[in-house]
Amino acid sequence: MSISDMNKRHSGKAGGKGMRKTVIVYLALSATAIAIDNIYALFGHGVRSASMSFMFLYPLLGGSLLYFLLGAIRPGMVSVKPYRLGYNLYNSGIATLTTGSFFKGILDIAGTASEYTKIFMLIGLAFAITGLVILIATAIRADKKSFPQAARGL
Amino acid sequence: MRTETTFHPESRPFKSGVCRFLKFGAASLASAALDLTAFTLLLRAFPETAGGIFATTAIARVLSGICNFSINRGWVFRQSGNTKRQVLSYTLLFFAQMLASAQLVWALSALSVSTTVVKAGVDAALFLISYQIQNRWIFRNTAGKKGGTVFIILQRLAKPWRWAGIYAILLTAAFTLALLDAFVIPKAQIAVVEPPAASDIQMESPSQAETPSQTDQIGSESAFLGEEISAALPMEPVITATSYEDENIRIQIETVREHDTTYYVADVQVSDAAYLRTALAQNTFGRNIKDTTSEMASAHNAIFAVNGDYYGFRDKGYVLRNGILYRETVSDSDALLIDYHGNLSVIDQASATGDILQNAWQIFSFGPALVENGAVVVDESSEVSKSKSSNPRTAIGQISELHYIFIVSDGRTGESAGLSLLQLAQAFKERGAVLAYNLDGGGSSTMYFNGEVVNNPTNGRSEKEREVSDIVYIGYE
Repeated sequence: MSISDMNKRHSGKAGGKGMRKTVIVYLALSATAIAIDNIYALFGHGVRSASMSFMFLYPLLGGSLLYFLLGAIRPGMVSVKPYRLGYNLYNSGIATLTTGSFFKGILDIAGTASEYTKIFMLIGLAFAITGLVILIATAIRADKKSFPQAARGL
Repeated sequence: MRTETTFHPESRPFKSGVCRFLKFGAASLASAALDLTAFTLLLRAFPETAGGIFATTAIARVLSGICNFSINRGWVFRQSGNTKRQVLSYTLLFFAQMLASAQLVWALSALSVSTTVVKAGVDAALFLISYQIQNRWIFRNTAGKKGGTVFIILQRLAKPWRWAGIYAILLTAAFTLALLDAFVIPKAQIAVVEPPAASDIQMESPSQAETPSQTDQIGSESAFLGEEISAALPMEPVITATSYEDENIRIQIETVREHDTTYYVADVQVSDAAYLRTALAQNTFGRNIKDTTSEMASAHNAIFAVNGDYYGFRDKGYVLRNGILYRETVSDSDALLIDYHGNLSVIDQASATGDILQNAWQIFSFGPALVENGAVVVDESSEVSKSKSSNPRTAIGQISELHYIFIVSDGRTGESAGLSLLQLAQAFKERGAVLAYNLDGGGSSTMYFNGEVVNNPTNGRSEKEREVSDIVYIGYE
């Protein structure tokens, strides 16, 4: 690792870049969700479903907004363990919740229901909450690493 | 110079891999047998209380776990390395597998599949996963490598896109399975309650007072008044393109052009409520069991038929057909009840009690009610769920005793826009209906008469008859 890399890592610039990429990917996913809803509406005889219309909120608020805030507050947490575990779990949760919402939308528009919607929501929430807890813990840990004296009350 | 050939097991990886897997299966079976034996023997030593059974189960499991670990370590994977690491990893896997099995079986038991089948599937999948974990991590050759199993698992999954890739595949598979379950996979179910006893039913016609006995097969729509009706078969009905008449049934079909829509009105009079019948697709109650209205009508020699409420597309709402109660879950919509006298009434499903069900010959769960006590009860804003205002429609109404009216409208085409619920209700009221109820519409709407489909069924893209769960028909069988 070069000295400039070490400096970047210390200042959180490398982490900030990683977060920015995640924010952009989530924004693209939100746009895709909106596009899917509108394309589906073309074939739905004018029938819409709130579950499908608002599924873009999961990647937008749960994804882009959260990582934007984390990137702004703790850019250096990307390189702190276990960031990657929390990141993977949380993203899986958001993906499951979005897919579950899409699935419920399809069923709503068709006029039916399925027990699977609950399973999608339960698993999605479990992943998202677990991931979020780990991410928050990592953010706190990153804070202590950045300012060890402050963390020790010195 | 002498050349030595060494036959190491790993020199033939496929064969040794299969052999190892078979050994793993045998070790698992031996452990399961030990678990069962220990449980049976220990059960005699502990009281048969909840705590005793729990203790017995736990001890048996731990014993079988120790046995399984020893066999796998020494015989299946032939490892002798870091015992402490292996014990710790195996213990973690042991509890994770138990927890995963219990949680997955619990979660998947919500599906209408046998719990035994679910448990077998879950345990088979966990067995394969467990083998992979033990083979690759717990009992792998760790010489020259550092870190524990959990560390290695996390390290491998932490590589960019690896987790995302695996999870995306799993999520896509789950989504596909859920869609197939909702729309494709047929699931037959049994009736909740058999037909009521003969003494409990008072039919309109004295000649038709017999009803199926309690010994009739559940789910069979066989023989409600079958023999009597067959005996009353007319010899020479008068049939035209738009009418049918014999001594028991009179049907007149009128085509109306109104509200930029073509709709079809069938005026039906019968001499007995038993001629107003229903049929299920493939004579089976269940989800995703479907047939077209015309095929079902033809199979029952129906003179006239319309699609029913498509009960099989939903999990809730009363379903009672030809006196057999198939489903008694309550949905939000009001239900249509046709009693043994052939009279229609709209009931609140939540208040459907034993007395109401006792007199029910048919119950449909769709709605809403269009006309009640001769007055229109829907307005311009009324709509089915999230449906748009104009659609193909199917509805049934009653003018007087044993005198009914069925309306099916075209829609979603350039020629016909479709009817709103208000327009449909007004059409019933204008024809003197005292009660009318909306059935499943859209692509399901179909009217069948004398072997032909009368309307133009369409899903909005192509003109094709949709397969549905059930029909309402007029006929003798």
